[in-house]
Amino acid sequence: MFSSVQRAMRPVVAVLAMAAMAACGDKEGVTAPEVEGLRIREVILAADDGTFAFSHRDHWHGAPVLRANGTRGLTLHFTSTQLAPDDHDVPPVESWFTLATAPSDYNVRVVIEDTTVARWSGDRVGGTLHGLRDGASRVSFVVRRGSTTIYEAPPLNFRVQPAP
Amino acid sequence: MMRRLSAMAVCALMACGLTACDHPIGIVSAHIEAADLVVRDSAGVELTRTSFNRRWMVDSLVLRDGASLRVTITPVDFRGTELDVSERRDVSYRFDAERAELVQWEPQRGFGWLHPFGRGETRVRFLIWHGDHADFVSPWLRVVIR
Repeated sequence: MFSSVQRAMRPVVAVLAMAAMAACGDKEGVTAPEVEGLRIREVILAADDGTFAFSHRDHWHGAPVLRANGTRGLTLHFTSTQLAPDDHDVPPVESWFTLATAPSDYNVRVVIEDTTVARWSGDRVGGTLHGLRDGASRVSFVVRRGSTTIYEAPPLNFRVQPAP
Repeated sequence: MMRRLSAMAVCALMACGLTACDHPIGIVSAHIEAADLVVRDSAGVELTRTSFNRRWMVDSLVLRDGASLRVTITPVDFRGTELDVSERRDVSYRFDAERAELVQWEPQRGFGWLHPFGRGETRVRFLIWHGDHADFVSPWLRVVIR
């Protein structure tokens, strides 16, 4: 009698364990698209002169400024973590990474809203913002794996000042 | 008999498993019960405030192109009492602008910067953001950049 109960309960235990594991899984995975690989939460734009601007959830800290007919070299760093909503510090430098060693299907799309103000040239590691005329616009950074968007930063305002 | 017992046990266990990590009520932090919003400059001078969250008492903010304006935003409750949300780590101030290319909001702890990016006019509104939703959305406020 006891052994037959034990036998009958075996699949029950297995199902139970699976149910418990499923229930305790990552809740973000329920609705978030699951793309294996890099997890990107923020982007840091490090300029050649040592200054930087960084995204923080829905906004940016800092903004690039350049001159018409001038350029601004920027390296794209990312982090896989996100600071708290009220923590506006720069993400710890040790958490920064670039896509230099990422699989080759990772790419960065940089879109400038007003292409008469500035243009972008570069690759997934960094690039150059070229000031075309005095004005302001916004730029978006989108990280894709193949054709799937895995991260999109909030649009960043920037300014092009008159040529000296 | 044994199969019926097993099936019942499976159902009970799955129910337990599915609810194991999600308390049915859940643990949530309190909403910010703001009735109005006050905007002050860095000297503490009131620039404008909402009236029953329907309109702004001073209907526009004027910024100078190239000069960022440091502001503090304070929610007040229906009695006019200021609400201190400085210790709330799950609350932040967000911002919408109709012409977002003209002005950028940069929140800091306890205050924020309005950065103008060119001359023009737009309308902005402030949101008290709580976790994944807005507890408060202000009316649109005219911003003029000269």
